Amino acid sequence: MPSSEPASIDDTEEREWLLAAQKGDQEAFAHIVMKYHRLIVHVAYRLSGDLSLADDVAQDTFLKAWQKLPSFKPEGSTSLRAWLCRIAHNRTVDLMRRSRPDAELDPTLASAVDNPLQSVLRAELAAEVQAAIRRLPEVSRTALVLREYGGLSYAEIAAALDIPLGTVMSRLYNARKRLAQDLRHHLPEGTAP
Amino acid sequence: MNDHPDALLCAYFDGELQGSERQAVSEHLHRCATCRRQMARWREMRRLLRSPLPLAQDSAAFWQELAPRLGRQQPVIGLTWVWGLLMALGSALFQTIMIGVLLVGLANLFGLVPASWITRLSDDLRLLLPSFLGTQPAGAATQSILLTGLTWLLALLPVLLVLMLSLGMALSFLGWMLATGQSRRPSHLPSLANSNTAKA
Repeated sequence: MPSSEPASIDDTEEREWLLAAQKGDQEAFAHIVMKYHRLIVHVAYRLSGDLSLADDVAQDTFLKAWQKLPSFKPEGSTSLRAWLCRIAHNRTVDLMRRSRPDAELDPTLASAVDNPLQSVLRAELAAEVQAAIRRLPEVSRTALVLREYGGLSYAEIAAALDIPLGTVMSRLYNARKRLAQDLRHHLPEGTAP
Repeated sequence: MNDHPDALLCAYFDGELQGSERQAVSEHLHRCATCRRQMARWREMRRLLRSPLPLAQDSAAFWQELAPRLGRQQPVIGLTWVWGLLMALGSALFQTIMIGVLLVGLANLFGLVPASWITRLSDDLRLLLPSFLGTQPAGAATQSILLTGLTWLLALLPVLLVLMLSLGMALSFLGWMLATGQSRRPSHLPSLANSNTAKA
């Protein structure tokens, strides 16, 4: 039974999978999909708040990536991760505009834990965090999600969104400021944001 | 008045600052309790953001669904291929000319080109040429030009045949190059099945 864990391949191996996949090797592409599937779903979910939509985004993202892979050149701030996140972001925005604007939050956010009370509390907290993310202005939310869930560097975010580095910085700061305000009951005492 | 380097603090928090900027923010943090609390809040917030996310589907099942839908990749037509194509076509044209000349030369050598054809065509063209050139035909020189024209005309059919053959060869060559360009996975990389077995 294949593992559902992301494939643990290092950068060198990833480059080789990428080169093979660019020349039509589906099995090599499978490794890339296995490595980034969770990340793409996570990014799409955090952007949209809709798990079903996030699954659709993941499908579309990897289908498009497969088609465009031969012309993809990993250079500068365009890593494979950043490129996939960019496709996922564009597709999420596209699907969100087509579907209902305020998608229902998924109530089953918590991971399966043995303590039911803990499970409920975690689910509530996770739903609260997701709701706070959803309340962010779209530009701030995108920057935050690409940073926190996509793991992209500032340069990669700037390239993905086609904005200056300074704008990435200010959007992230605004996102965190607003989020800290919304989640203040769960954060240590600090400055008024 | 806000004296805190807000946006830079954010970049510092993300490990994105280098050199003098990093040093400046670091020194500011030493003397500013407000910014230190801010950093502490962001750290806690990051922990909150990392709450687990259930996947509707595990990655292996996801791949099983995705694989049959992959279809064809969009090929990249690079400069190399443009040059390759031009060279193939140039080669075809060159072959066409050379073989055409050879065939007509052989036909003339063995007297397969009827003299009456040459005379008739020469006469026709002698009448037509001056209207194109605006000059009077000049005897032997014009005759020579007309004969060359006739030679090429007679060469038309075999040339077409050769052209088609050459194009076929060129396309076969390109097809072969595309086919051999398909990847073979580096031998040291395991197959998906093997790596999954190993992980299991």
